[in-house]
Amino acid sequence: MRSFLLMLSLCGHQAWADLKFSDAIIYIPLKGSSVTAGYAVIENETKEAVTLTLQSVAGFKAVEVHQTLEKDGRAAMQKVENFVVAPKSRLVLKPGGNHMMLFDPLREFKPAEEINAIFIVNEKSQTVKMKIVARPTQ
Amino acid sequence: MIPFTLALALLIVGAFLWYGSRAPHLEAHFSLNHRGENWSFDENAKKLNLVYVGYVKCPDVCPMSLSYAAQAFHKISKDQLKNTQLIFISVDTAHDTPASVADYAVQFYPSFVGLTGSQIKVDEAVRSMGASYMVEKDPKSYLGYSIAHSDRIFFLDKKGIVIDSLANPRSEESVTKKIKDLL
Repeated sequence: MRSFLLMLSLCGHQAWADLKFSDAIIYIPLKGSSVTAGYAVIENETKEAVTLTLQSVAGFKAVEVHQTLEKDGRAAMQKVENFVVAPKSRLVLKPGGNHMMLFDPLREFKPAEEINAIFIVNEKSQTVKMKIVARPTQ
Repeated sequence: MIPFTLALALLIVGAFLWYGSRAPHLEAHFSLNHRGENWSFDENAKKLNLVYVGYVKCPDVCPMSLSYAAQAFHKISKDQLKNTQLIFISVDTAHDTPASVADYAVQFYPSFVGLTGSQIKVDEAVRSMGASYMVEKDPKSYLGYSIAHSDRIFFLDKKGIVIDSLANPRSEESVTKKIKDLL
């Protein structure tokens, strides 16, 4: 977990009208797998709840948002339609919890590369830069 | 005489209670597929064997747990490393191939062994350790399915006996401590 937090701290902040994104990362897809995950800290500084959906991520054929939960003693993943960020609070997308799921990379990625993710925030399109990072294995 | 009889009775009752409360004895002797070759636990077991059950298209808990295990392998001594291995068993027998599982596992740590096989053999291996999984159809999802699976590292000795396990591995330190304690 320390490595994950350290890596998040290396990423920047991105402010939007309704939401502030920080520590937005996507793990570089691993050989053998066509699926990877993305995480971020999303802060709602407004006085209203904000609904957030993920529309696309450059370089991936499809994207979804999922949550991991424990079900009958197993780790289970399920697709969710959107996330809701409560007023004056933050939503942390993190391993073992809510996360972005990215399918079928259309090209190879390199660590430190930045790619655009398009979110729909309160029915408005917002682009967030996400950093490609390698899995912390050391 | 009465105290002796009483002590004996208590001893017998205690023995029964202890026997009844023991954790079930789990022992694994699986043979699966590694890059197209048969890979038998009995032939390849080390002093300490970590086993994690998951699938290659799991983007969240599997890579997180394998990352922490890899970090632990970097932390232990060379002697401990020589006596330890991690085996990743893919339960996605419909989609993962022996090559994809093996390729996937070694990206976390070069000695990680990625295995899969027929559903019957994978099920036998999974059950023998006390792990479990369930394929769940999800027509609304791009993949069309997901697999709920044990999020637990099982620790097997050289004979295949499950000597311990670590649920929800969420730190390198927890994996490192288990390895050091069990070696």
